[in-house]
Amino acid sequence: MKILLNKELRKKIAWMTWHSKEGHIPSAYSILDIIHFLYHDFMKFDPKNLTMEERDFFILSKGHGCSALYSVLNQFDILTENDLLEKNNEKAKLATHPDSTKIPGIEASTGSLGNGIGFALGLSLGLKIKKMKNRVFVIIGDAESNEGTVWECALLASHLKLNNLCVILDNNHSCDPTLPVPDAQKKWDAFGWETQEIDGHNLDEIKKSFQSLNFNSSKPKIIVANTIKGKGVPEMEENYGAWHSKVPNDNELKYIYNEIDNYE
Amino acid sequence: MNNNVRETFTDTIHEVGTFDKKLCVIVSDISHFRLQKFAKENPDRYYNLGVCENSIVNLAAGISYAGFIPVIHTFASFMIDRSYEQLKLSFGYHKLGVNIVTIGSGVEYSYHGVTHHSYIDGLLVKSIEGSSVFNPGSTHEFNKLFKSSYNNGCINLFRATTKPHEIDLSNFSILPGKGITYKQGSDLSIFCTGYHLRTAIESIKEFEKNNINVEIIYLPTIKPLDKNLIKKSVSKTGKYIVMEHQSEYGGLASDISNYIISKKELKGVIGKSISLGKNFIHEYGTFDQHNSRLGFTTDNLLSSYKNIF
Repeated sequence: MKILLNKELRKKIAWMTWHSKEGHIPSAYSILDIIHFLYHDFMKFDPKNLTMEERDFFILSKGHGCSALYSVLNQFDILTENDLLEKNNEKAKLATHPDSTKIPGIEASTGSLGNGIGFALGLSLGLKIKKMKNRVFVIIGDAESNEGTVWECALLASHLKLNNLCVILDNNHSCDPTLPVPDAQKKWDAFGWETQEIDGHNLDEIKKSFQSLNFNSSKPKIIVANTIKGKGVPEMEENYGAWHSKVPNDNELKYIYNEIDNYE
Repeated sequence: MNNNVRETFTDTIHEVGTFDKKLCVIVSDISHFRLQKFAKENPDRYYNLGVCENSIVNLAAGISYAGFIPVIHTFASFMIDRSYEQLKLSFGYHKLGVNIVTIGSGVEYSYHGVTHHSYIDGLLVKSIEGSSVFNPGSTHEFNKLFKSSYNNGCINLFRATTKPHEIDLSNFSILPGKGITYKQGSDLSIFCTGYHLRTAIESIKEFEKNNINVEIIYLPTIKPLDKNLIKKSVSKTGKYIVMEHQSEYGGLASDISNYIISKKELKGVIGKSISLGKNFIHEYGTFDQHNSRLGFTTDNLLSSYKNIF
């Protein structure tokens, strides 16, 4: 039986968007389960010591999905309820894209697609030069993969043998109506990466894939996570284009809550 | 001394990178041969990553975030014009340091045509908060400016010229953000940068024949502007001409003019710009031919003075 993970976080993301009057709910829902797993169960991460030297690094290259990240950081009290309440206000820490100059624990400000992955490559290379064991995790989108820099990075990371780098491709098919990127796993495989393909909303598959990553091999890794934009709200899953940056009204917020609670 | 900075900057990089193990050099498939000494001695801090400038900039920002001091190098048109967004966001907004050593600023690679010209490289980098723009006209200047700035944690653009002015400046202090009064004068301030220190000096005799005593202010740093020196000079002369191989839009003349109009005590000071103008430069030919056609000549300096002042 399929289980919808992180129901309360999904509701919080909808609420944040409703309250702050801007956001990208479907893009957050497609990456939420993986971000939750990384922070709670996989990355070397100390919420009390966000800059610890041995930490793993996380970069959300598809920055517009950031409310998923905000909701997880909120679970660790890195972001307070007040921070969420203030989102998009003039002096807020939080806005529609994550800002490392304002938010503790955010390594890079992202939002301009195709740039976060390059930053992550450099960080991976820097850590390797310093002979440090930290790992770098970066989430990119399938629509982001329309950017040429993504493929420059695919070539570069393989060339530089960045085995401490793991890209997660949020393959939510958001670019299918415009410029699809089919056969993603084959493409990354051809660039010389270690590739896996999983259901990005299935906890068992998420766990197994990350646990199987071999950071001793010479290749960079990519997990092609097949995800659903708007996962958890059937209407949003169906009409993800219309919901891309839609702000729910009061009734729609109640509807979203209800749909999440009753999701099967 | 070889003053072709494109050829000699690699010696400075080797010297600095030998004692500062944080220096990490990334080239976009140019100067690879010239950097081999550094590359062989420091294989983990030298990378030739081909022609993917946008990603090289982002990657260098990540390296900087990991604690290194990157030097990135290729043509200005690709590393700056093409990669402006990456410079602005990955370095500028993150407040990370980088040293951008470019070639081909302005029309130095005259035979290469428009694809290899960059008229606004200085303007683009200048527009990023906390950046510095250096336009050294000799190896001596590059050495001094690089060594005193490379580890300042900011974006530093060094326009590495192939057209040095060949003027001996060894008796002058070369400091970031500071200009040089090469010649004192009372009638006209000539503000110049890079190669055009030579053009300015060559004009002295003609001005003297016309009883005009020019002051020559040389600016190897374009940003930050040496405002005090500019103010001191135009307070005396009341008139100025700016010579630069940058666009008329947002170049040195623009900065100087903006500064002057902001100062009540400089009311009445008037000036003229001799620059690369506002349009694409379609002509090929030599660097000298470009200079003649665009008015970087003694005749034009003198006639500009007479017509305007």
